Amino acid sequence: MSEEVALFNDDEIDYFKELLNIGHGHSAAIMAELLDEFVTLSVPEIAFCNKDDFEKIFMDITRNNHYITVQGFWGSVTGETLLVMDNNSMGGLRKIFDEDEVEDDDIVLELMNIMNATLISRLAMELSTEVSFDIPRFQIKENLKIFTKSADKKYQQAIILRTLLQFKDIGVDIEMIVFMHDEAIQWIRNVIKTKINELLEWS
Amino acid sequence: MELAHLKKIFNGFNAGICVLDEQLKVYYWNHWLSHHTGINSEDIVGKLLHHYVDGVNKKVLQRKIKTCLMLKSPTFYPESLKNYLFKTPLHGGTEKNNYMKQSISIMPYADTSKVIIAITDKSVEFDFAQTLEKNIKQIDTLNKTLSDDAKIIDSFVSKLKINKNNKILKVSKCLSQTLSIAKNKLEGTNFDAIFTPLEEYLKKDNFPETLLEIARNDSIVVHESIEKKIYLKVAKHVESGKDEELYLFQDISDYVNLQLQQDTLLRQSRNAAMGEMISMIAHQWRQPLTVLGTILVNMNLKLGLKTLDMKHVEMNIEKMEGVVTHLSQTISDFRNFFIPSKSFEQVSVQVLFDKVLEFSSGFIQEQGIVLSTKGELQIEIKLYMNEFIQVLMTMIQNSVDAFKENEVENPALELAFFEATNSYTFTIRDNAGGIDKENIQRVFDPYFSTKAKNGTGIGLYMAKKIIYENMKGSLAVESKNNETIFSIQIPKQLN
Repeated sequence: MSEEVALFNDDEIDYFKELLNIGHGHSAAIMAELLDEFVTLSVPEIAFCNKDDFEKIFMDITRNNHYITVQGFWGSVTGETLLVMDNNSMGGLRKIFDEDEVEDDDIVLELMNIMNATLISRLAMELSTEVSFDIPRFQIKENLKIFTKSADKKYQQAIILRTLLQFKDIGVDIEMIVFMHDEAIQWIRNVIKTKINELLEWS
Repeated sequence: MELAHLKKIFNGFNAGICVLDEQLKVYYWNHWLSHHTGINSEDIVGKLLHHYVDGVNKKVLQRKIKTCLMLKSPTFYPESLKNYLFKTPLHGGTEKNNYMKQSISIMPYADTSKVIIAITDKSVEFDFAQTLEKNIKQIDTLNKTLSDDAKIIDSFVSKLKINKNNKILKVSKCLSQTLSIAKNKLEGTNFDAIFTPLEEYLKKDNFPETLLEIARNDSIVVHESIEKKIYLKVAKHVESGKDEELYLFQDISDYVNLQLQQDTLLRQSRNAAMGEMISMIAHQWRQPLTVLGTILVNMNLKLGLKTLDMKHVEMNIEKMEGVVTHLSQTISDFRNFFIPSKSFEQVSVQVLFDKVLEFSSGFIQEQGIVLSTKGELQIEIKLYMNEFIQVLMTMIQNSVDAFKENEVENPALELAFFEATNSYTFTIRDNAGGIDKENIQRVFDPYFSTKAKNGTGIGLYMAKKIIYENMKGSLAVESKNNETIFSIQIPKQLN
């Protein structure tokens, strides 16, 4: 765990993870309704990482994944989310959407938008704020180098969520990396602190 | 917000704005959309979109609207996607697209079951992005090629960089291997500690003219280690705007060593020739010395018998003066022959043969060899005379040695000359037993000799070198029926 993220104490990290889980559950509900089928999203593995780990993360992404999308969000919580998946997961996703003349890129971007919107919106809602979203876009591997350099300058830490989208017998491994500005992290921390204090007072 | 208000706000937008429900029923259609689709607002509002607009991807659009309404958050259809949500012809088109590349945002319309769709024309940006992407890929490919090339250059080109203080900054792997010094030991060291300019190096020792010539014409440095000396030809390149110099090296050690080796051979050859000259002079002197001795004995006898008169003395002195002049002339002739020719000399073939035979007559006569000449000997040609005589004498000497060794009956030697259209040919033919098949391929190799004694193995090697390098000709040998024939061909162009 990075020094910066260590600014969160254990209670705050638990609370934050809980918020992310709620957002994640919302994603699953939306997916199920959209596809009109029972969809589950496994409880996400959540990890925090700091700037020093970025290079390794990007190297892993480039090595193992073919579909890399990015979507910015802004408001009190500002940052960018990367959603990555490999060829096998894309194959599964193609079956789930089951559309004529299905376009892989559109499906991935749609999934990105759904996952990011539900997760970040829900997080924002729980933190009593609002966020807006940029148009999601693909990152070709060459562009990822530019993104890496820019991320190095803009962000000190990131949150990594790994989950499995399960639809009938089809599983899709999804990895989301959420980068947030320091101000956003600090803002979240302050809000969480207040919420925890409110809970403690209430109890 | 009332649709009437939307109309006022969005009609002036430089983007397409429409309001739809999940069934794709149109509630609002702005001027931009009317302009680009050719469908007026009055005609389409209240109707189903896909019934009026060609190229609407109904299924995808409905999915996006449904998602948007469920998320209560926008969904998108970016221009980067291959397909089109609203396939709108692009007036004039762009370099790559005939249809408008659109960035589409689908947003919930307040808390209704409708959505607002905003369409922006991104055709130019899309073209630009595609070009950029292509260029990035090309740059990456070029970078990879450059990187591969750099590795190859590093492995196969000897080079280094120095700063203005002569400190070595960077060394290629190839140079490091050539010098057998690790890169990290070279880097940081002063250039002068590793390399000595050849000119300075030559001051230390006696070096052959060929090496001095190289040092005068090219920039050469020497690296001397315990095991070996490495000679490197240097090209220097000063990088503009930098205080650095790039040095490129060519390892010429093999060439230099060959020159040194040939120089040794040349010296050996001269020594051998010197020995031969002394031997020839001895032969030439034998008969006149006998004459001198006879005169002296005769005079001594007459002196003892007191019959020596002044007339006799004067006659004998005159005879002896003639003999001494002949002896002196013989030495001069040989000495002149050993001075290398500086330029071409014009000489008739007859004179050339006479000169050669004058030097060799002692041996020829001693062996009882019948000598003959053949061809148009009056023809005059231009050549390096002394060197050419050396070549002919080497062959004659070889024939004489073979006759001596093989004890041939009726030994015969023929010198012949022929003129062809573009060249002159000299042949030297003997019947001294020929040359074995296994040896004939090697007779021009340095240090190869079949002679039982006194063979240096240099004569024919030097002969070939003179004919090929000095006279741009060719030299060949054939052997059959106990005969050996050397053929020298000289191009007329030289003349």
